[in-house]
Formats: sequence, structure tokens, C-alpha cells
Amino acid sequence: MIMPTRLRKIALTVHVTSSVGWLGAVVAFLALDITAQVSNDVETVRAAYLAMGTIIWYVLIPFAIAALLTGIVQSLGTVWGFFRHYWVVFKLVLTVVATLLLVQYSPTVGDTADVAASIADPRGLPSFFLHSVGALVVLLVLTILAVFKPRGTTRYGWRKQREQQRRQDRRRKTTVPQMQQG
Amino acid sequence: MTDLRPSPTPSTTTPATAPTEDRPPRTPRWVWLFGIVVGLFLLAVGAFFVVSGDHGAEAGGGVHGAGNDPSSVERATAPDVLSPAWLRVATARPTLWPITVPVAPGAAGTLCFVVSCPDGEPLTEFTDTEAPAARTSRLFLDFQVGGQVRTADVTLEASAPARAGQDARSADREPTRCGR
Repeated sequence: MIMPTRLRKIALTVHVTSSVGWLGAVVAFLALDITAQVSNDVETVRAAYLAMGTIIWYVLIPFAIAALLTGIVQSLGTVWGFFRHYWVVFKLVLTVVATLLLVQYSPTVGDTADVAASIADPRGLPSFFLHSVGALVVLLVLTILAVFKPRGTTRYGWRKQREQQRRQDRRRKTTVPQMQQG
Repeated sequence: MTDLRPSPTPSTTTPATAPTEDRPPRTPRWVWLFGIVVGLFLLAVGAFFVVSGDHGAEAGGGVHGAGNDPSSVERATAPDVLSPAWLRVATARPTLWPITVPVAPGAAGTLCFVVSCPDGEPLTEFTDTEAPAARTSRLFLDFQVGGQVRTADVTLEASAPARAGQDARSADREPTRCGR
């Protein structure tokens, strides 16, 4: 199921865009979280919490799910596969874990944003610093893995590679003599 | 112009691709190191969930309800006219539950429920007007979490509003609402 080049590039563009968008949204979220904790101005803190509530539902979760799905499409539709290269395996595991944690944690952020909207003084509401920094680190690691693609094939990948190579060799051996005859 | 480049057709004697070794490749060292780091990360995440779950179960229940059981009420302010009040309920994870169901003033009917807003800020005080001698009052707060109504019981000292929450102040208050 290898995708044709143009389709593959379109899918890759969507994947890179959503993944980098996720990273950017986490940085924005972190900035808002620090603002909410550091600022003394009630309305600034309230605005920061409200913005965090919006970002998590309308930016972070869509981008995370899009990144995961387009990543799966990339694995299915290219020679990289799911379990052939260690870096792909790590990316898949980390992305799934990060997405699950995000989805699991977002109601907390949404509830806190609702509370911040309604109470008189939202200062002192809980911080999401640990989660934001954790997400940032994981996403940076994922980006580095994607760019460097460190060597290392799994046993499964090695077997698949050998099968493919044998098939190619066989095809060459049969086609070359035919060309010489013609 | 002669093309000096080698012929693109591979010769039949030497295969174009190098023969692969029959043994599977060694696992690179970075995979082990990275695997350990990722494994530790996953363990830490798992441990966090296990520990926070245990904490919620240990901390004795003041709130009755199924699911993610809030175990104790840390702070309670009553809802007022201007802005809904909120409860900090100790759960597996620190969560703020907004109260969407109005507070039912004391089950015994002796508890009066006073809300005042001197400068636009909701301030809340619970006073036991009919039994001023009683120093402690029991509150039953109904609140809704994820569509499910739960009841939290809170013990407050009637004449010590500071215990009711950080917002409670000793400013003059004007009663705006009273329970039965």
C-alpha cells in the first residue's frame, strides 16, 4: 500500500503541519500558564485561564489527533512501516501516550477555565506547568527523532528488507536477459 | 560527446545491491538508552496515576457519589446571585468543581444561609441564626460533576467565617438570601 509520490507529499505536509502546530500550541499554553501563575492582575489571570481552556479544546486536541492519524497514514503508506525502524516505534509509542494524557487531562483544564470565568478572584487556581513542560519535552524529542531518523532496524524490519531485496534481485535477474535478447 | 557515465543496466555477474548478512543487525546502543529513558517516563506516568488513585481512596469520604470520588471538601463557598460559587474537592487529581446546583441549607432547617457582596466580590458566610449557641454547623452541598449530582457534607464553625474559605472576610455583610 505505498502511496504515490504526490499523495505521500501531501500527507507528509499535513503530518508535519499538525505536529509542529501541536508543539507551537504547547509553547503558547505554557506561556499562558506562567502568566496565570505570575500575574497579579485578576483580569489577566482570568483571561489566561480562559485562553488555556480554548487552546486545549480547539487547538491542542485537534492537532494531537491529527498528528497521530497522519503519522499512522505515513507509516501505512510508505516503506517506513510501523515496526521496521526503532525511531518509528518510539515515535508511535510516545505520540499515543502523549495524546492519551492530553485527552485525559483536558477536562481538568476545561473545568478550571470554567471556574476562572465565574469566580471573583481566579488567582491561585491550579497550575498546569508540569503537564505543559512534559508535553514540550516529549514533542521536542519526537521532532528530533523525525528529523534525525537514527539508524536501527528491528528484526521484523530486517526480515522485510531482506524479502524485498530478494524480490528485487529476482526481478533483475529475469528482466535483464530478456532485454539482451530483444 | 561521449557519455562517460557507466551503463545504467546492471551487469548480470555482480548484483546491484550488496548481499545482506544472514544474521539480523545488532540493536544500536541509542535504542537501549532511549528505550530506558522512555520506559522510565512511562513508569513515572503510570506510578503517578497509581499513587494519585490511592491517595483518593485513602483520604476518607465526605462526598457521596460514584466514579472519580471526591473525597473531602477543602473549601466551600456558597453560590450567590452574581457568580456561582465553587468547591475545591480533594480527588485523585486536584480539580475544581463548579457548583451548578444551589446549596441546600442545613438539613435540620436551623441553618441560615447568608451571602454578601460588599464590593462586587462574592463573599460567603454561613451563620446559624436560629441556634446561635451552636458553634458548628453541618452543610450539605449538592453539586454537579459531569452531569451527576453529588452531595458533599461540610462541617463549618458557625461564627468563624475564616474557616469557610480564603475569601471569607470580616467586613460588614448584608444578607441577601436565607434558607428555610
